[in-house]
Amino acid sequence: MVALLPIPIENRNIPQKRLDEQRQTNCEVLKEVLQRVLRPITFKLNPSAGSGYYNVLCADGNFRHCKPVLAAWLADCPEYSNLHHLEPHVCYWCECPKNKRGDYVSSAQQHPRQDHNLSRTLSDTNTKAADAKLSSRHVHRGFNLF
Amino acid sequence: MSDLPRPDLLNTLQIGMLDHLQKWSFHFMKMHERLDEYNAMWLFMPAYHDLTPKNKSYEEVSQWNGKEMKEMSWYLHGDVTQSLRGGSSAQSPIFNRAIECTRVLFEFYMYARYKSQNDATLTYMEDALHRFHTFQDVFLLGQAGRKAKAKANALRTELVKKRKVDKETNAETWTPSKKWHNMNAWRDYISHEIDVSKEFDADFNFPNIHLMSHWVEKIRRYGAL
Repeated sequence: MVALLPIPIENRNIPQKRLDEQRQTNCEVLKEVLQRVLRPITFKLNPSAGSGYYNVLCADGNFRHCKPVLAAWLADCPEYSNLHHLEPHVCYWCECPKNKRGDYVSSAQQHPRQDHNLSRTLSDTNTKAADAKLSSRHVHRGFNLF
Repeated sequence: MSDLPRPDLLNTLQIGMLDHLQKWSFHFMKMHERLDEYNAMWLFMPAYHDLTPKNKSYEEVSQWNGKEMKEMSWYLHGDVTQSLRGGSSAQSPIFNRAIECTRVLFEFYMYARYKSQNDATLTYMEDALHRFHTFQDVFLLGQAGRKAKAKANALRTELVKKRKVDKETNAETWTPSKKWHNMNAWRDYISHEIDVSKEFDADFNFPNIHLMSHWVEKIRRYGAL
C-alpha cells in the first residue's frame, strides 16, 4: 500500500512530455517501494540471511520459527507487464511473437522462455545494440522486478 | 523470482476468457437473430444451491464481477445450447460449432479448477484447449476490434454511396419490382462485404488466449492451481 501513497496525477489533458515524465516517476516509485518491501522475503536475493526468521502463530495454536518465502505472485496481465517492464500485452512467460498469440501452442512445443536475466543484463549495458535487442524482445530498459 | 508469476483463474479465465466468451455469444445471438431466446433463457434459470435466479436479462446487466462470472459459468453453456436449438440446415453446422466452442472452453475451465491433477486430467485440458482453437473462428466476428469496425463502417459508407449512384442512374429505367429487388440485393451485398471485412481484420491475438497455453506446463511444474 505504501506504493500507492505518491498518488499519480490523472493522465488526461496533459502534454505528452509531462505524461512521459510522470510515467517514469511512477515506475521508479514502484521499483523502489517493491524492492524495499520484498527484500526481506525474497529468498533467492537473500538466501543466507538469518534475520528473516521469526516466530509465527500457526493455525494449530503452536508457534513456529519460520522464514517467509515469496512463492507466487498473482496478478493480471497488465500488472505483470509493468513489473517485468515489458511492452503491453507481451507474454511474460515466453517469447511468443505479438502476432502469434492467438495460435494454438501445445505444452510440448512452447516458445522459448523469457530470459529475464538476459533482459536485465542488456538493460544494464548502455549501448545501441543492447537497446535494439531489448526492443526486439519487447522489453523496456530499466526496472524488472522479476 | 522469474518463477513467481503463476496461472491465475480469476484474471485469465473468469474475468478474462469467460468475459470474452459471453460477449462473443451475445454478438453471435444478435447476428443470428437468437437474442430474444438468449435473454429469455437467462431469465428462466432456476434457483439451485448457490445459484440465484436472475431478475435481469443478459442485456440489462451492466457490470460483471468475478463471483457473477463464476456463477455464469454454471449455466452459460446450457443457455447457448438452448438458444440455438432448431436452426435451419444451413445454420445447424455453425450453431454446432458455437456450442462446441463454448463447451470446450468450459471444459478447460472446469479441469483447471480441479484441486488435484494427474496425467489424464492434464491431457483432457490440453485436448480441450486444442479443440477450442479449432472451433474459435465461429466467434471471429464478435472479436472484431475498434479498427476492424471503423474500417467496416468506412466500407459501408462507400458502398451506400455507390448504391445511391446506382439508384439515381437507373431510376427511370427500373420498374418498381426491379427497384425493390435491386435494393434488396444491394442490402445483402453490403451486409456480406462488411462481414467479410470484419472477419479479415478481426483476430484472436490477445494475451489471455495465449496464457492458457502455458497452464498445463505450469500445473505440471507447480501442481494444481
